[in-house]
Amino acid sequence: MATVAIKEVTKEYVLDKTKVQALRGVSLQVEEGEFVTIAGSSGSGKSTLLNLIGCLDHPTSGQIFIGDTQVHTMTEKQLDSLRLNTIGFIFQSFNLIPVLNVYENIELPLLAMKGVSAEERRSRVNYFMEAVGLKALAKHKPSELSGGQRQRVAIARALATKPKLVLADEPTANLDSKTGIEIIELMHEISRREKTTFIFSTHDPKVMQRADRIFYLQDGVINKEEKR
Amino acid sequence: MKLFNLSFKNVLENPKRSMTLGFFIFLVSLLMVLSNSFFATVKNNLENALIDSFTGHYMVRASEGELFRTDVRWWESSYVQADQAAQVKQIIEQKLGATEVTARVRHNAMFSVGVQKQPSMIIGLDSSAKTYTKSFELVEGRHLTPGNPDELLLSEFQAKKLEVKVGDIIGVESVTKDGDPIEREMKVVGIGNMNYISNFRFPVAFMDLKSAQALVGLTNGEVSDLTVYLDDKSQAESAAQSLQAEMTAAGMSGTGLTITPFGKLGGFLMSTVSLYMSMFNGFIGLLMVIVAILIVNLLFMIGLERRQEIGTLRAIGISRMQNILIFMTEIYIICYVAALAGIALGGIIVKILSNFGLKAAAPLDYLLGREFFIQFDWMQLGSVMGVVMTLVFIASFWPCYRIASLKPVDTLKEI
Ligand SMILES: Nc1ncnc2c1ncn2[C@@H]1O[C@H](COP(=O)(O)OP(=O)(O)O)[C@@H](O)[C@H]1O
Ligand SMILES: [Mg+2]
Repeated sequence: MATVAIKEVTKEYVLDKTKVQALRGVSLQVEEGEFVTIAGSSGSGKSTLLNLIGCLDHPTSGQIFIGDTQVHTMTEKQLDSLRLNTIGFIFQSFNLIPVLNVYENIELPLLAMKGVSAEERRSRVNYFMEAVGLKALAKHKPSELSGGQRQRVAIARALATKPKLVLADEPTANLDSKTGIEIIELMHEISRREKTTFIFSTHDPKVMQRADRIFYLQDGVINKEEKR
Repeated sequence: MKLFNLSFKNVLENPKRSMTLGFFIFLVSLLMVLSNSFFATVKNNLENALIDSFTGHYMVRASEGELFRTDVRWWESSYVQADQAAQVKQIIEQKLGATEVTARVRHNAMFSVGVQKQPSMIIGLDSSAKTYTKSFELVEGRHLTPGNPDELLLSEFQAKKLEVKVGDIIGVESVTKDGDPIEREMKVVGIGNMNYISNFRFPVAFMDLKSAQALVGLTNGEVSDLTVYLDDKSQAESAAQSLQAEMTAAGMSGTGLTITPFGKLGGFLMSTVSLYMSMFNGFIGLLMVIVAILIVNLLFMIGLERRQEIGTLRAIGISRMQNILIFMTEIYIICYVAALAGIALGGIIVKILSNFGLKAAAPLDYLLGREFFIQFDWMQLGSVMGVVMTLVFIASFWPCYRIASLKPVDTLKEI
């Protein structure tokens, strides 16, 4: 079964009296453990699409499945739980909690989860800190880290809950290109090792080449799909 | 629970802001403890003084209505007949028990010494009266000798106005219940002050029952009231009810006698305390409004400053309710610590003061008497904490709800 399946999804934003058609019928399917990218220029609808997949917003029409659950029929509570347990998020500007140190940032979603023991929490945080190479910086605040290091913390935080799916909206946009490639490589490696499905968006051709599959998005439609 | 580590870190992150809110909570808590202790003391002391000198724990009268009026007129429109008074006294003493049952006559009179004249209320006490001596502090002379006619106990300020000393004879003029003028000569045997009540310049003088009956023209032994004293103030209401039941059982329901516990007899004296109390409570209420505005404002700023953080928390799966709790905890940590500090300081101040008699200066001596002991009460500290925590809840829930309800997509938008 596909991890993510999207069928004829449209999204329309209403701004005052004008309507913006951000997505005009997008269908795609991402299989378990795949490492795929949504590629497109600014304004093509990448963030809109990822927000819909991440259950942060509702589509105007069409269907979205995460695993075998159809998400647009779910209540707010169910969506909270789905995001917590099934989906990990990585953001363009890292979005770490400034008052918490590296360890605490990674631990945060685990604290909201039910049935994770203190023991289990500690071992997972340590495991993922190791995986992103930040063990030595556990006690540091985000403000003391470089952009690349911050995004590594965000990756560890997204993976700590062992999600089936990780969504990353332009994770390299705020990084220099060398660091950006490193981050994508790290994500890819973890995706393979943990068998986690990754969907990230980018407008950077060098970055998109690292994905298993590329969906080219333009003006709210996918006009090309490339398997590598 | 470790989730609230975040709240704690945020409190420490912005110490200035936390301190500002904390300071006001501290102030409110401190003032509440001090003023509550103070007014509870004043109220209790005044109540005790009123009970000892005027109202007893409950009173049996032939009419209803206020006892203390600002026009200081307190004769009754009807009197308790001698046989009724005897019967009630017997019921109380045989069936209910009381530390003292005193028959009294209350009236208005005019004291005169030469050209000096001074209106006064007078209380005639039967020979069983003892409790009044507790609140009537002698400056000079002695209390009444039970059963001795034409003896007079004067308040110090009345004695000053009339320029009399113990041993002097003064004229006491009054109008009987039938409208006839009458005058007696009486001897001042004691001059003193009634705890608390003298400060209200409430002109009252004590004499024996028979003399007072003569001044009212009560030739058949009628009295104004029976004043009943108990061991325990808290028993007043129930004792009054028991007497009512016993009197009904004894077939006295048609006599028109009313039984009133002291709580309903304080009149304007007690309302003076209530007035001061509500003025102070109004001030504290104003402070509480300021605190509430501060809390709402603080949360509003948090909502603006941490927009992205709030959206991130929601996106990674922290529920709306958990978010509300995180922000409320942040406010509660500040407020709880500050309230605890304020209550502790207030409690310590009250505890220390409760060991010393305080000398009250004008205009406070009016309410307090010249020396008073403030009362320390653990329950009271707890109730202040309860009030402050409730205030914090009321002020913070809605803003926290609003913050936590921000839509993640809106807060996460990249520019
Ligand atoms: N909340 C919104 N309200 C109105 N229009 C929006 C909103 N979000 C995005 N859009 C519009 O939808 C289109 C797609 O935006 P977006 O998904 O952010 O693209 P991308 O992430 O690829 O830059 C753009 O034209 C953008 O202006
Ligand atoms: Mg975007």
